[in-house]
Amino acid sequence: MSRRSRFATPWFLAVPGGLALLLLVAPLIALLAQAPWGSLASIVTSPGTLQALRLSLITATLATVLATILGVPLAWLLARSRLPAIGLGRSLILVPLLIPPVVSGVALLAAFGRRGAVGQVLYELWGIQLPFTTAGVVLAEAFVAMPFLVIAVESGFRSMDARFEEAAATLGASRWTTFRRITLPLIAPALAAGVILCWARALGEFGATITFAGNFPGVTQTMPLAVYTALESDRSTAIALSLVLIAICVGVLIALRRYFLRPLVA
Amino acid sequence: MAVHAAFTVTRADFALALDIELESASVVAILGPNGSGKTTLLRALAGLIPIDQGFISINHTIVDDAGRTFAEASSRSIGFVFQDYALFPHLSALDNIAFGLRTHGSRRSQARATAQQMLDQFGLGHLSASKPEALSGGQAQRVALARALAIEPEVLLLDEPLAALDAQTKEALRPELAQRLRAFPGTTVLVTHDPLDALVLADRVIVLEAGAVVQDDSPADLTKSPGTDYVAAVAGVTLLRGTARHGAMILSSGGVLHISDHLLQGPAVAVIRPESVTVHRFEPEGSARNAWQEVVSQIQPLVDRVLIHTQGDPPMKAAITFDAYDDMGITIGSSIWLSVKAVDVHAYAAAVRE
Repeated sequence: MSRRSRFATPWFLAVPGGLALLLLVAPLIALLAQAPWGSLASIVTSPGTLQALRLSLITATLATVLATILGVPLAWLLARSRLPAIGLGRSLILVPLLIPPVVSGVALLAAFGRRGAVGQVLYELWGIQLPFTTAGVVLAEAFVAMPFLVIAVESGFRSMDARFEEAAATLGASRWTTFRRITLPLIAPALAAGVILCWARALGEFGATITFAGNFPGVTQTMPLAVYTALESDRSTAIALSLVLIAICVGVLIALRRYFLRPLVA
Repeated sequence: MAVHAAFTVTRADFALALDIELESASVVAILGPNGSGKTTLLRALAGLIPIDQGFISINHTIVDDAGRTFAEASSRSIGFVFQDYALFPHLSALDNIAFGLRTHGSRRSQARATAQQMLDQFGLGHLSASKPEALSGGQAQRVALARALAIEPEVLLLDEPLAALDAQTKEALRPELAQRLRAFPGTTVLVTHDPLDALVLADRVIVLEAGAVVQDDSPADLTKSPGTDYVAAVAGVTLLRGTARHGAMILSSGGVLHISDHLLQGPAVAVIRPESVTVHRFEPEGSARNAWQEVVSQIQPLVDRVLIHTQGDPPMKAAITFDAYDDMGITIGSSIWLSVKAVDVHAYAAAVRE
């Protein structure tokens, strides 16, 4: 056995590994190859596309804001609370992550539909309806995407050295001041990673959205729904819209790679 | 008294039980081996952990009575220096110090101005914009002390303040820390496992072993009459008083001690670790500046070595291995020579309080 062969990549790893890479990359290359480059600009700037794009960006951002406001405190509870129910809570937040999004949509209907447990109360007391509204899109996206944020932020809270919070307390800082000026800045990389993961997941949300909020242009038809709708009539439009979504995701990844990659890799 | 702590803290594998009263304007060292409960004591005083029984009062106000009353750390008048300083990594040295001033109600500009003054006093004015990761160990120690002192606490708590530093920085910083602690008007409690820190920095040493106070004495009495084996081992340190002048100390106990610090003048304290003292049968010839002929007065076997006490000018203690002890045939009354290099003598200005 020569030295060189000992350090060469063994075939039983190289072959499946290469196939895996091909599986991940080939469809994207095919998409680029079939793109209607000539009419791309007109498709992307058409009123229908811009409407769906605008709705997607707004709902994904609102869903991320909602998930952050609620998810960061939840992540703190999961990381720091000694309540016995916390172990169960940690398992439960994985459920929306694992079940098919269409099932999430059905579950949301059961809870927030006009005859759902919560939806009925909302409707009778305040006349609020969530299904088939833009607010419903935000709710569906938040439901599916929030676990990503919670998991990332929880690991940030866990790996943070609690002595910094103790030091802040000995310096007279209240719990709120400590959280705002010490804890949050120190978990900023994890929070950024969580926000980006959450936003990207919300932007791509399809199954729960179409089930719970329907597919109405201008109200609930986000980009992924527009892609699906276009595919039934005009393949090249579907491909063009797909390229827009890919461009947004890759753009965000490149712009924020410092925050995005470090905590996930480390 | 400024602080009265009479409490117990019980853990699965450990219990701390004590009753101590600490004067204001005093520096008290809590000396003990790992696991003796000294850090637990400090954290209970700070309000970082609750006590299980008893009470803690600071300036006649109960801050924890193991029941109804528990003042959070943030509402106690304390300053805490953590073992590895716990400087906020995302804030500059200046903002680390300004943080406590802000939480105590100073306006931003006022807090920053005061913090800059503190940094100047500590000789770190040029590092105000530096983040903690850019500071050396000694600089970080000073910033941590300045941060704790900036809020003008009544009680200053230090957890192993010099343990995180390399030996050289430690030696350089110890006299400076002694000076600053002496200037602090409140009660200082410092936890350490290093007898040198306790003897040099404190005017009272409380020794904790396995969660209980085993000795509570002035540094001088601690080294004269150690109560337990642990104290004997740590207090094997020789403590000498005298007057320093031009690199030599005229000792109150008789004799002269050469020291490496030629700038030290006036009343001074010197401490010598027993391992730094070499024992000879005949008059040594070598580079050691200090050599005395003395008479063995006590032989004290410890776990891993023998502590030889001698009478002479000055009285000394030397630690040697059991092998060396057997080879040299030392008995009580033997006449031996002791030598110490001047660089192994730790000499400091004596702790004189106004």
